Amino acid sequence: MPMQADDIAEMIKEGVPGAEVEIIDLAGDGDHYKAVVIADAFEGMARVKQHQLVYAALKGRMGGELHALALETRAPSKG
Amino acid sequence: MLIDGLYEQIFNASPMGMAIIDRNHRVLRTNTAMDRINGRKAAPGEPGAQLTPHIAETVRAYVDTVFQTRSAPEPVRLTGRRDGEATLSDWHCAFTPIAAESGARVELCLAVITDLGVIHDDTQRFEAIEADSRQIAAAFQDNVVPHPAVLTERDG
Repeated sequence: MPMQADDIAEMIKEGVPGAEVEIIDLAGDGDHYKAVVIADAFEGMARVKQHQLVYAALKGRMGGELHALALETRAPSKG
Repeated sequence: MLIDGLYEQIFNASPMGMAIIDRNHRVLRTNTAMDRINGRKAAPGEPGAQLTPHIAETVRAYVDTVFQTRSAPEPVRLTGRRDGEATLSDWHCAFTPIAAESGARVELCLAVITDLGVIHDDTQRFEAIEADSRQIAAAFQDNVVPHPAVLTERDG
C-alpha cells in the first residue's frame, strides 16, 4: 500500500521540527516521491546527516510502504 | 559519436555513469561506467526505463524536468529498493540539458548517475560524489555537439 504524500510530509515534520516540507509525486503513482526539506536544524550539518534525520523521521517506511524517494535537503540560509 | 573532443574523453573516462537521453526517453549513448551499473552495454535507442530500472520512474521525471525547463535541477540522492533485496540502496543523480549546437532544434539530457550501493552514510564520499556530479553536469551543459545523424533523425 503506497504512502500518501501528506502522510510523508507529516512524518518528516514530526521528525524534523520546524521543517518546510514539499512532497512531489514524480510518477503520479503514489510510489515515487521527491521530498524537498528545508529546516533550521540542518544548519551546519553535513548533507548525509540531514538525510539521516529525514530517514529516521520516516521510521522504517522507506523501502516498505515507500518504494523510492528522491531527497533534497538544505538549511534556509543555503537558498 | 554524440560528443566531441575533451567532452568525449571526459564522458568515456568518468567513473560516474553517464547517459545521453532524448525527449522520447531513448538512450542515445552511455559510457562504460553506466554500462557497469546496468550490467550490460545499452543499445542505441533503447528505452531509458530499461536502464537503471530500480529508479527508472524517478529518472524519467527528472529528465522531463530538464526538457521542460531547459535547466539543470538540483542534483539528488535517490533511495529505493532493488527487486528481491531487503536492504535499501542509494543512487546519486545529476541531470543537465546538452546539445545546443547553434540553430539546432535538438535538445538532449545528460544523466550523471552514481550507484552508491547499499544505503550508506559516508559523508565524505557522498559529498565528493555530489561535488563531482555537479561539476560534470555543469561542464556538459549546452556544450555537447549532437551527431548529424541524430539531428537528421530528430529534425526530419
